[in-house]
Amino acid sequence: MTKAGVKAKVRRRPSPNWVIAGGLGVAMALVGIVAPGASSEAQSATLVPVGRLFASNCSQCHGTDGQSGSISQLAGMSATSMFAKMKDQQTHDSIMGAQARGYTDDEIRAIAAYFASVKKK
Amino acid sequence: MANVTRRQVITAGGAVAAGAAIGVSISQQAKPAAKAAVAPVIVIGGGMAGATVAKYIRLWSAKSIPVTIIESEVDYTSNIMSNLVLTGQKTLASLHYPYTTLKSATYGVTVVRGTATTVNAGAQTVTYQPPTGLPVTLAYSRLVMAPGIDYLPFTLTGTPANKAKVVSAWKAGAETQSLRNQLVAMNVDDKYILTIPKSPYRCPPGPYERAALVADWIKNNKRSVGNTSAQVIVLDANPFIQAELNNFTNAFNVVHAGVVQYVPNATLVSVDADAGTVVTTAGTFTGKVINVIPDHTAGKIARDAGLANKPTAAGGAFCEVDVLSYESKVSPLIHVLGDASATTQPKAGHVASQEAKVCADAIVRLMSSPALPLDQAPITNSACYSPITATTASWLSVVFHYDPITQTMVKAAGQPIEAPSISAGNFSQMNTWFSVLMGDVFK
Repeated sequence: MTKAGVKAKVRRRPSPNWVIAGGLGVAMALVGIVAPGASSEAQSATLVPVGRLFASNCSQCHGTDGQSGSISQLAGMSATSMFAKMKDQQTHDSIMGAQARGYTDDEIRAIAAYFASVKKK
Repeated sequence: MANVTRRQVITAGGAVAAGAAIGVSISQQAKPAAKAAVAPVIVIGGGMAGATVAKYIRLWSAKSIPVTIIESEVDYTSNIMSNLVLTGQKTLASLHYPYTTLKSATYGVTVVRGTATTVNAGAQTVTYQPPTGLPVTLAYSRLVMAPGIDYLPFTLTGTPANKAKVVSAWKAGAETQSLRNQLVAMNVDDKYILTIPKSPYRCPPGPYERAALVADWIKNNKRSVGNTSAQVIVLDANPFIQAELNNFTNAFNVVHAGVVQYVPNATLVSVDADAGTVVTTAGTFTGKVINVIPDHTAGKIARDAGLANKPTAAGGAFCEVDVLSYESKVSPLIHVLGDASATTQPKAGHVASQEAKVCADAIVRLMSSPALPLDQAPITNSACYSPITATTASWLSVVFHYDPITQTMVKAAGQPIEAPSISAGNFSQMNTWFSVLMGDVFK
């Protein structure tokens, strides 16, 4: 990590949602959360953030790491807000609604937590 | 070393990391092997799957794992949206995606031009033939095959010139332009014949999309007033429309009523390019432009490497893989992605890109020191749009979860889901989706 510091998300007390995610076998190798964009030195020490692979399903339409310049930007959105939006989307007769209905609440929480940890560019 | 508990915070390598996983020791942290000691991951094919896996291995390994793509073309030509070249709404040039960003310092992927000719799994080498000069052999740590599809031969008679007109245009490129030119050269009220191969084939909605778009274009350009005969003859080797059944049925029977003749269970037998006749198990049909999409098989290099162990009803074969990593079930250290693989997922660009991310995640874990366990619950998805007319489109969406019982990717309940209607709004969204999708793969 550069000394200036990429702000790594620190969750001293992971929420029950994260534990549930781990219990489901979601990104079980997780050892830490590093904000994407961190230097290689930082990432080499801690890879495989929880929810990253799940969240990569979003990037085809929302940009790599949710940094879309057009369709809704997900990077940096609060987990609470994203969870609420996804639950709302599940009620819509749209392509996003169809996608949203493919995920469980726990999976959505893992995705939302990941994007909340990504610094908006 | 002590296990990480939920409440521990680890500082390592200057990074602050929170232990959110249960019972994962610090020694299991991903530490990509030193650059100098690692042979590259070699990717055969720079399409949607190949480019994605290269980009994401670099991204997720913090550029510690070297990646080399072997690609026969200078840049990638998108199959997605290429049906709009047939109607003149897009140019082939607009569908070219260079490897510039992948090769830049942002990702640092090495891209070499050539055709992969030989894989030596024992020696972990792959040999490719550059456009000029001698063959080159490269060592790999892991090999990712993303060669796409090849076609099975079919009986085609006629003069060389007429036979050359019978194209598939199912790999965007010169054939796409040829088909466009042939459509433009049609006389008013001439007929266009499209044959659809047996599933599994690349892009399940694609042929129906093409039929609908060409029908729309013919109505506006090649149809006389009062003509009531069908001009788009769809000869489907399958018993029914393979994707978006409601919307394509509506497209054929309502939107383009009278213009499209859809014939199921029409397995191709032969084509006489001189007479313009197509013989199928459902009868013989005559047309001016004959567009044959032949039955598919895995790309040659995958077959030559002995990976294509899953035969198809049409006589082709695809490659069985472990969908937690896309590692071949035949040959360790070789992964197969996208259209060449045999999985429960469709052969299509969007989902191939997501398969590539699962593979990239797996390779980063496997090449960490020590290796990390694979994610045991991957999800993949596909979302795509199908233009039905020059200004309207439908869409198709599906999400897959890993099922540990069958060890396959299984559709989420109630899926796939197709658009409730064909609309102009969908057409507009399609352009945005395509732009972002290609950016996620190539930029």
